[in-house]
Amino acid sequence: MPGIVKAVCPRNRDVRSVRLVINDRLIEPNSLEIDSGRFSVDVRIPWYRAVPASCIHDVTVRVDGQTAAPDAMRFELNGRERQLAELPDLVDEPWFTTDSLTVTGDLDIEPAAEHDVFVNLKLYIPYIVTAHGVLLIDESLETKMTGAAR
Amino acid sequence: MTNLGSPIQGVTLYSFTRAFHAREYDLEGLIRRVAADGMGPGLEVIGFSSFRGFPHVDDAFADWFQGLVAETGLVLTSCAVNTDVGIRRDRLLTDDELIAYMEQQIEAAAKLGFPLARVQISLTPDSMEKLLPVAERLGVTLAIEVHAHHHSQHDLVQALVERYEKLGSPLLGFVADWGTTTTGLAPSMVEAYHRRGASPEFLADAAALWNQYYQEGPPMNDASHGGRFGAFIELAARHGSPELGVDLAINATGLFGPARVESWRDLMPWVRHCHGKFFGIDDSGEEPSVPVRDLVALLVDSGYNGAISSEYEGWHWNYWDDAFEIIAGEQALQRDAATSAGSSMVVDTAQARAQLHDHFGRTLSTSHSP
Repeated sequence: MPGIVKAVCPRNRDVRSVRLVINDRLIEPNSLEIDSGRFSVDVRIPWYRAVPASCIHDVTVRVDGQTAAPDAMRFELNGRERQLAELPDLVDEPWFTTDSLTVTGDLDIEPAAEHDVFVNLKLYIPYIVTAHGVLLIDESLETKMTGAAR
Repeated sequence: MTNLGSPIQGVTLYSFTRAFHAREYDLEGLIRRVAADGMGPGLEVIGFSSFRGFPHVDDAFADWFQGLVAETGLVLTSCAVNTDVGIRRDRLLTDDELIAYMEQQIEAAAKLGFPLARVQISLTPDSMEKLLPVAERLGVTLAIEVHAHHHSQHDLVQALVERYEKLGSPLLGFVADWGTTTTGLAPSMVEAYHRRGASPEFLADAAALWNQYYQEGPPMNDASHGGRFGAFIELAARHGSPELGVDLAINATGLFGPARVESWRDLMPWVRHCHGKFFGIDDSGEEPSVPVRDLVALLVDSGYNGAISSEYEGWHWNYWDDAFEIIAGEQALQRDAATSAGSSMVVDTAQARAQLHDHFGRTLSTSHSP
């Protein structure tokens, strides 16, 4: 029997991050690419369903302690690259359940065997309205990965 | 005397959220696995989860999807659609905009061959009345999901029943989610909180608070629900785990409803579909927090011949067990419960199709039958 009552959580999981959302997959493993001052990393939707790009409120990326400047960041979804300020109008542009939001930006780092990659995503959940307005989930994940040269 | 019901076995792809999200299966692969494992014949899908570009569905995709469902011997039961009032950043959708938004999804559900669209309780009786002509035009049943913290006696549900009675349409109804009528917090969730740093004293007090609400009965209105939500947050803070407060409050009030199984009985004439919500199966093959046997017995006793979608929701905190095995365990429990109640679950495709035809009073799409 599956016996989840006695199930053992693998030691390498940060169980403190277990939530209603799927935030253990916020960053696509080994998706970091670095090339002459630009980086690229794939962000996964931490929810069970697609939401429109208009629900993406903010994205922060930090690699090896350096935070990418928001103005130089670009967001690729469904084959099109956009700036954060363009997203609120995209009510008919889905971020599908299994798609990555590819985030690129400026960072002065060199490709190495291991990088600390941190992502924070603030995402509206459009069918849940609370006393404070539309539910805004605020999810962060930090993980280590290699940085491949593009 | 009502004839005993024979609910149709089925599953919602939502149960496999982690596997699909992880790209272990695409939609076709997941449907084929569900069919191969005998988890049907009933198949429920959340439109925005599984269909790329939903609610935009072109003819070729609809043909492909219905062909796949027919080929694999599955029968479509429910397409879950969403009340996305918050897609704009400047304001919520107006009522008219929301009706148009819902209409688009209901049309997509019909085009894909679903006999029922699951809608959410944020739709008012007025909205349901406005959507009824859409349902009539498409021949699709609209069923509002009754999910914790709501329950059959809640003000909002009773207001809908009143309107349904006035409108008298066979195309309006409810989806009964079993998380409304649980008997305790899931042991696996309590274990997950323990691993997240919650003390045994905190968890014992959380269980005691939940049991107190169970004894008092479910919240009859949203103000009462709000009070309980706040009490779980306060409890976490008092035990030095404020970071777990909102999470616990959402789960304890929104996943584990304290209504009694018997409370469904009055609503049964309007129940068109069921979510066999559960969180885990223990070593003896039982569900520790959802009274699956009693729920199946009530459906059988009520003459219910619709489908039950096994809806595994333990994936929120259980990152390590195989969902397929857990769901097979719950379906075995459902079948055993139906037998104990003097009936049986329907697992045969042709029988399920014929029975759903009668249940919904319409011809199901058979254009792709092999």
